[in-house]
Amino acid sequence: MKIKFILTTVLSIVLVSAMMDIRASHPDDLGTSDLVLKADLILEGKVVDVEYRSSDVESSDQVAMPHTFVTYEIETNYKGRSSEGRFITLRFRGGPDDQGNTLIISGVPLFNIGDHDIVFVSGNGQELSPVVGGNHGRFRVDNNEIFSDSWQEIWLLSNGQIDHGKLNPDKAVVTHRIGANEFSFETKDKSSWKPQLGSQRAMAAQFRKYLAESVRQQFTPQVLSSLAAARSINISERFTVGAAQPVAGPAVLQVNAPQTANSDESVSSSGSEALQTK
Amino acid sequence: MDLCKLNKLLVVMVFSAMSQQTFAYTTIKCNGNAAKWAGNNYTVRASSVGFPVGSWRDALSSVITHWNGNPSNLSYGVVWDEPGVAANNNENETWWEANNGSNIGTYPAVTYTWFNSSCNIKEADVIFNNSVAYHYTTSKTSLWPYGGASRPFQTTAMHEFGHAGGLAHTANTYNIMGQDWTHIHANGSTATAYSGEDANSGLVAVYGLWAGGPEDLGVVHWRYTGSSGEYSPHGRTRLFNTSNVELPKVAGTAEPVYRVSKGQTVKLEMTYENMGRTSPLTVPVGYYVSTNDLITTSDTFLGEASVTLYRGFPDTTSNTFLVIPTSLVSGQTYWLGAIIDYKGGIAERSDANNATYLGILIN
Repeated sequence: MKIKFILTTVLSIVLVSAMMDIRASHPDDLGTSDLVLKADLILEGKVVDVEYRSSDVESSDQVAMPHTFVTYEIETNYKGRSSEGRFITLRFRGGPDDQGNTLIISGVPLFNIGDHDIVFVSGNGQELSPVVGGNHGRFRVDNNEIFSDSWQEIWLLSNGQIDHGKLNPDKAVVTHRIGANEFSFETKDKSSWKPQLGSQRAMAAQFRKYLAESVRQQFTPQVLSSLAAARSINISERFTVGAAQPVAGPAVLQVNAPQTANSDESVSSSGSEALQTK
Repeated sequence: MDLCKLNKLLVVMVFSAMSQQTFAYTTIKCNGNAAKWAGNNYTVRASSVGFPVGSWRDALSSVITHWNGNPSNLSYGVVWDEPGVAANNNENETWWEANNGSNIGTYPAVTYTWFNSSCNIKEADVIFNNSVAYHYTTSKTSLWPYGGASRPFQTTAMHEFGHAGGLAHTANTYNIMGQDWTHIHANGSTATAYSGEDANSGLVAVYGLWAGGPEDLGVVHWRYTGSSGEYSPHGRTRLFNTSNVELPKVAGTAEPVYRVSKGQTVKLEMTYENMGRTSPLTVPVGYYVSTNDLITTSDTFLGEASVTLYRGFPDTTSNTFLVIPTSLVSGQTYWLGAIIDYKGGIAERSDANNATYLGILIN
């Protein structure tokens, strides 16, 4: 019974987690729905191809922007389906350009061929990252274990919340080949994280059951069967990215603030700031 | 207040933060070498549209100035009134875009970091979404972490310019590269963004120690509470009884206020940081009780502890025992305060982040 309770609440786990974190470098349109609701497609599969192509330039107000095309071979659809059946190609902003440069964007996940993931997909071809929540909706499967995009353990709390636990020690250095270069993200883990009382480590099988049950709870078979297929992107398909259009900062009410700068650090706001020489 | 008598009642333990040579930041390597700015400088050109003379410019200026004081060899600078911005134009630029703009999408803020074929960073553009409820203010009551309606722009900008320096997200300690708006220092009515110990340590690891860099100590009432994806969420520090049970809080307050009794021994949790050049530093921390949330050395002194802080990751400890003075008035709210280096023995880049508070209500 307890296990069942946990399984049925993991959905809200992901939801709460997403709703509470309106992060920098991260989409923040998560307050009105949870990951499951927002996902067009929830899949489990393996990355079988990673390709790169810059956006097309058809007019002077467009720019060539590097993109990464990640193709999954789908093993299981927990919600929705792909327009290409057993495969889906997702398009992410970032990657190598034609000049030998590489663009990496904070909050946009990176992929290697062979990655085994559970992915919440939304807005493929429209968002910078078609993973719901930037990279929050990507879970890595490693044998019978489940991890976050950044290779942290997934723990289920007794109150139905989720916690991300210790970094997988084998993944303290996560390496991605992006075009000609190999990028490594190195985290020094101080390992002070401790599981909360009553929490339990989620294994992949448990996570799968949760997903299946969560979808069943929220969607009738009729609704699920009527969902439009998530669009798979053809890498040869033409697409464009507009040039930057800078706008003003938000209009805000004036506040009788103490000050807007650190009180004893000198600040200049005209011309250029030649700050302390190092 | 009879301080002599009061001090006899105090039990303040001396503690030494045990964070020797440990850290949690995430850095990037490219083909085995640190991915960084070849010239140890990052100068950003701020859009004339988004950062004209005024409050947004002042806020951005404050962030850049703060980052430039980091103890690594990486310097930060800013050039104002950039007339045109674009990604991948070999200029570091920052600007605002409307929601669903071509570079921001639906993100609240994002950093585009471009690496050249030599694996150095060649360009880092920081873009903010102007549909987000940002505010440039440092007036804490207007800001999310203190119950206000606005996201603090300066904490988000601090986070993004950490990316521009070469830092990735970090989930396993209290740090600016996690949840930004709860990585903030407050004393009195002012809440100030700052880079913090872990990010500063990361830059030192990548760029080396700035031999002439400043010292910077700080104490905040925020702590690491776990991790969520690539981000570390943070919560407020707490007050415990001597059995390490968190004391009850007053309901419905924007900030935590703990119920305590006169004469009660409590354990005050705070996060102490060494963000400057020298590691370790051993300094005294003065503890106070105040009739308001602005903690100064003019408040009622409760006692002192000694801390030894390594520049590694922030040290959150509740190993500080304080006795609530019997002279306080029942039913009134006070603030316990901590001031690191309260005797001013260390010359720091800023003393503004040396003090903070935690509310108490006397039973």
